[in-house]
Amino acid sequence: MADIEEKSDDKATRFKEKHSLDSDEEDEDGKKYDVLADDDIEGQEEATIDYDEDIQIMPFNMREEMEEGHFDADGTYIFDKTKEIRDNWIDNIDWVKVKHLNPEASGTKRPLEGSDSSDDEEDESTKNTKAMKAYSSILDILEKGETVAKAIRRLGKNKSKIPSASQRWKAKKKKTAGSEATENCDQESINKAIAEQKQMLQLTELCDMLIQQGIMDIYETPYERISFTLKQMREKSQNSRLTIAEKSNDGDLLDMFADDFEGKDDNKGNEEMEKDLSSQGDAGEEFKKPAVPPDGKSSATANIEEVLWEYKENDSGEAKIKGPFTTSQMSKWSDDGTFGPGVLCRKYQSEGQFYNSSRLDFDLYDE
Amino acid sequence: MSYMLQHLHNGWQVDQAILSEEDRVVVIRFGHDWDPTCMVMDETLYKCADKMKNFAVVYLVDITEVPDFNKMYELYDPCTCMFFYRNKHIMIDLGTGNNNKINWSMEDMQEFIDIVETVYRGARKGRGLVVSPKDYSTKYRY
Repeated sequence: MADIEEKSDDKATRFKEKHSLDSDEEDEDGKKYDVLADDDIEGQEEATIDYDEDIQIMPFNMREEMEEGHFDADGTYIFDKTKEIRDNWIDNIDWVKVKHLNPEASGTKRPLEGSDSSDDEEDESTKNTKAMKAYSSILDILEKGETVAKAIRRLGKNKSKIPSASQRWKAKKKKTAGSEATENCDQESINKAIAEQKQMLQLTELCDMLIQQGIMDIYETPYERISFTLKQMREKSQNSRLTIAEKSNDGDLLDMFADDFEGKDDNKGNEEMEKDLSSQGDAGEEFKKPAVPPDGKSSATANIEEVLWEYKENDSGEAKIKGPFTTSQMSKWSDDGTFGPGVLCRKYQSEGQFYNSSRLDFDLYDE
Repeated sequence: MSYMLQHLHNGWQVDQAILSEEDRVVVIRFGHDWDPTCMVMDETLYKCADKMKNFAVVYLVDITEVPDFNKMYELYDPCTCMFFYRNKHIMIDLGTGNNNKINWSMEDMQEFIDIVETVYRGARKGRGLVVSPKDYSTKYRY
């Protein structure tokens, strides 16, 4: 057993060095530059005498210098300052976490964490309201069953009717010449075309903004879908406003929101969740389901919705299964040691096997 | 002996399969179709493939037909399973000491799907190493 482990450890390190598919690693093992060989420094002479009476004689070679530095292949002298310049804090960086926080690393979606500062939250909400405004103005322009791209085509097709500056100038000249009759009926269609073009410009502007926010498929989104997302966003923002109100304990002020009761229920659910934890009792069955509907899908599908968990404390037959709990809750409990050496958990309603919580990284399931 | 999973027949195809997949984990089984260990693994892979199609794609490589990677990936086990995401090899702590690959055959479908899902979620968050939900170190004790 030990033999196998040792062998494979050794193997693992060799593996990494040789791994050539990962371009990042290739950079590391390829030498960045060549060190100039001693022999390539031309014109050096051996040391002769150290002193000529009082005057110190420096030998005409680079030996002394080579002790505290080296030349690279281009002949640039580089001091070996590895000992002097050394920042101890670099050792303390957990690179896994650094990468984790990097927005690029996790694709376009930034992991939203509970600990987000209020600054970010505000940013997010203003972004959301902006997107909502854009969506609703797009809806105004679009016709039913039309995608944005189609609408642009529809609005752009009369573009040729709009007279260019030179045409207008010509028309004016004509007018002065006296043929006004044909002019008036044309004017109407021109005005319409101009209005349509304005709409089109507005539409492209809005789409551009949404694309910058990461909604890449806006041009292909039909009217119905936009109205649906808009509805969803409105509900969501209302809910989030509610929870903020709940947090600050002045729910009375904001009672105008019709679904206030739901929000309160939510809170109650959370409280109960905590109660369940503190008593470690059998309150599990009484646990009210959180507002998020548990997904009935098997764990096989990597769904974007929030993952829910259930757990039991040991493997014996009579151990009760508790849950569902949210990923963030599970992550908190496993971090603060509530689970002790680890409990057995699995995804809610997955019917799969239970895994030890110590081996599960709940952060991965936090979207 | 799975004819349903796609085989890759040369090094270029393997590279392209890994390179071109944008947001799914690429699972590659290196081995021989006639090998009993691989047969078991392929059976599991075949059953899983459809369930994982949203986040993983499975390819089979015959290490005699395509010996290009044998040295680089140290493919000397009868059956080796490796994971890649966006041209990067993703390591998994399986508890066996070898984080590079699964070099045995797995029979439990759900177990394998859970591993691949963990790889997928980890890789998407920029991790190069993920921890498999199950510890396989006890496997060698029997």
